Amino acid sequence: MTDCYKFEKRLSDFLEGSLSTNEKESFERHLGKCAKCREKSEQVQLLRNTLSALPRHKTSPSFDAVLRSNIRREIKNGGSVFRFPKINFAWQLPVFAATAILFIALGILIDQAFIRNNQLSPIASANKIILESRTFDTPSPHKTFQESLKITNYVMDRSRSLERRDKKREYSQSLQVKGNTDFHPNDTRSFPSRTNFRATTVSVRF
Amino acid sequence: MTKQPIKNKPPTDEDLISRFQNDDLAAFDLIVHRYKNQLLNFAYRFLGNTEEAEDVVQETFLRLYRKKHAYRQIAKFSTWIYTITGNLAKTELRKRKRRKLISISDMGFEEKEYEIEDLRADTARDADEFLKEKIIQKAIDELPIGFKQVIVLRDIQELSYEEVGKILKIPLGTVKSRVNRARLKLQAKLKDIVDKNMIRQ
Ligand SMILES: [Zn+2]
Repeated sequence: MTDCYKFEKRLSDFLEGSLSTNEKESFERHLGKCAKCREKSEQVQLLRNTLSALPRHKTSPSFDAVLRSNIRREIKNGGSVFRFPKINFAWQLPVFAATAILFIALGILIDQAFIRNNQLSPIASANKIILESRTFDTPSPHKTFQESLKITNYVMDRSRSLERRDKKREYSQSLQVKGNTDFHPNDTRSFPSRTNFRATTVSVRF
Repeated sequence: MTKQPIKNKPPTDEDLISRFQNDDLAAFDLIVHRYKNQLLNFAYRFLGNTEEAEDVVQETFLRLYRKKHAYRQIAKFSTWIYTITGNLAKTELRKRKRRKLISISDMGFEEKEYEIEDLRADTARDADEFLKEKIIQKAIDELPIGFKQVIVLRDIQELSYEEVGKILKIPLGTVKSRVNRARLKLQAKLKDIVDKNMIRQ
C-alpha cells in the first residue's frame, strides 16, 4: 500500500525510475486515485525540467585577465609556486661556495636555455657574483617557460631568505631581484610569455 | 582493443591535473578553460550573485594553482574542484549573512526583484523567461544551505547522486532523501512566490 506520506517521501525515486516494478505499480495505483499527489508529482517533474533548462551563466569577459593578474600577484608575493629543495643558507664558507656555484650554474642555464642575444656572462669571483640585468624570452610557452618561472621563483625565494637574515654576520650581502612577468594581452593563457629579472650583486665578505 | 588510439582522445581531467602537478602550465589553462563556466554557474546558482560567484571561481583556480599537490588521484578531479568551489561559496554565504545582520536597511529589496523595468529583455518571451529565471533564483536563494547545495549540484549542474555525495561528504541515501525534500520545498516556495506575484499584478 502506498499512502501520501510514502509517495511524497519517495517521489524522486519514482520520477527517476529507480523503484522496483512492484513499488512502481503501487505508486501508479496511488496516483490514479489521489489528485493531490498527482499534482505534486507533475509539479516536481516540471520543476526538474525547469531547473535543468535554466540559462547557464558564464564567466565575465574579463575573467581570464583577472585570473592572470591574480596569479601574477601570487608569484610576486611569494606563494612559491614551484617546490625547490630547501637550502639552508648558513653563513659558513662552504655553503657560500656552493651558493656561488649555484649562481654560476644558474647563469649558465640562463645563457644556454634562454638568452638569445645581448648576453653578458655572469661574472664570478671569489667574493662576488654578478648576474646582470637579463631578459629572457620563452619561445614556446610550455617547456621553456616552466624553466624560466622556476628560475625566477628560485631567485626570488633566495633573495627573500637572504633579506631575512641577520646582517650582523661576518659577511654582508645584497641581492636584488626584480621579477617581471609579461602576459599575452590577447589570449587566454594564464602564464607569462616573457619573464625577466634583474639579479645583482651578491657580495660575500670574509 | 589491444592498440588504443589515444592520440585523438582529449585528455581526461585526471591527465591534466597530473600534467599540471608536473609543472605543465598549459594543462592548468586547459583545466581553467574546461571548468570556469560550469563552476561559475554552480557558484552563481548557489549564491544568487554574479560578482560573488566570479570571486569564488577566481579563488578556486588560485587554490588549484597554489595547492595542486593537495589533489590525489583517488578522487575524481571534478569532485575535488567542485568541493573547493562549494566550500568557498558556503563561506561567502556565511560572510554575507553576518553582513546582513548588521544592515537592516536593505530589507525592502524583495519588492524590487519583480519590477518589469528591471528587465533588459526586449521581447515579451525573453521578458517572460527572464522573470521566470529571477523567480526561480529567488526561491533557490531562500532555501536552507543544505537543500540549496543538493538542488544546485543535482538538478542544475546535473551531477550524479554519487558525485554529489562525495562533494558534500554525505552518504548516498542521505543525498537522495535530501534532494527529494529539497525539490518538494522548492516547489512549495515557487508556488508561494508565483501566487504572491500574481496577486501583486
Ligand atoms: Zn496521495
